[in-house]
Amino acid sequence: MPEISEATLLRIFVAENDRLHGHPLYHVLVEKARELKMAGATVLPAPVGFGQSRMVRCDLNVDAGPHLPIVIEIIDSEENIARFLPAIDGMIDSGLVTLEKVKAIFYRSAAKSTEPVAAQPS
Amino acid sequence: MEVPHDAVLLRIFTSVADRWKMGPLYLGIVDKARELHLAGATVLRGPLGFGQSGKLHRGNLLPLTQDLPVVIEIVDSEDKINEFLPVLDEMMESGLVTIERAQVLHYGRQRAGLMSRLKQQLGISAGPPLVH
Repeated sequence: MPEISEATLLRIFVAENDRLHGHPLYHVLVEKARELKMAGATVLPAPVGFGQSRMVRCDLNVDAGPHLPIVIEIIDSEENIARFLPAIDGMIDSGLVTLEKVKAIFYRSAAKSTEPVAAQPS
Repeated sequence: MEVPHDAVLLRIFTSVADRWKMGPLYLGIVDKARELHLAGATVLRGPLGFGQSGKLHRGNLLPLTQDLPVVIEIVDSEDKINEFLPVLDEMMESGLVTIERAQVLHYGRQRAGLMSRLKQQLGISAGPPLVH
C-alpha cells in the first residue's frame, strides 16, 4: 500500500485575463509557488463561470473575450500553504481562494528530479 | 452500477508526457479504471503547472514535445478506490494522488429520457422506463 499523508488543497479562482504587473495573474501565482518551492501547482481552465460581478463568462460568448475562469490548485503540507498565503496576499484583486483537507500520495521520481538522488531523504 | 452517497474522490496529477507501456499514462489509468469497473473517470488538462522537479509544464509550439499537466478524477466507493490504489501505485512514476471525501448526489441516468417526458406531456401513458 502506498504511503498516504495529510495535505492541504489550495484552490485559487481567478479570471484568465487578470493581470499583475503586465503578466497573467495565474502565471505570476504559479511562478510564486515555484519560487517558494511548493510541491506543485496545476492550472485548470474552465469553459464557463461567474463570480462576484454576476457576469457569465463563456467561451461561446464572443463579447466576453478572454475572461474565462481559471483555477490554480496547489497541494502541499499545511505549513507550506500557510507560508504561501501571505506571499500572494494583495495579488488577487477579485477572486476566490479555498482551502480543503485532503489525503495525498506523493510519487517522487528520482530519475526525473533535477536534484541529485543522494540529496533526497528516503 | 451503484455509487454510495458517501464516496471518495480520487485525483491523480500527472503530465501528458508521462507514459504507461505504449501509451500516455492518463489513458492507461482511465483504461485500467474502466477495466476494474470503477464508476467513472474524467481527465482535465491544464495549460500550465509544475511538480516535484520544479520544471514548468507548459504548451510548446512543437506538438511532439507537449508537456502539459493533466488531472484524472475518479469518484467511487471507498472500497473500490482502496482496491484501485495498489494498481495505481504500479503505474505511477512521479506525480501526486489525492483522496477526498465526496457526497454523491447523482450518478448515471436516473431521470426518464426525452421520449417518456414527451409522452407524458402529450398525455400518452408511458410504459415502464427502459433504462434505470
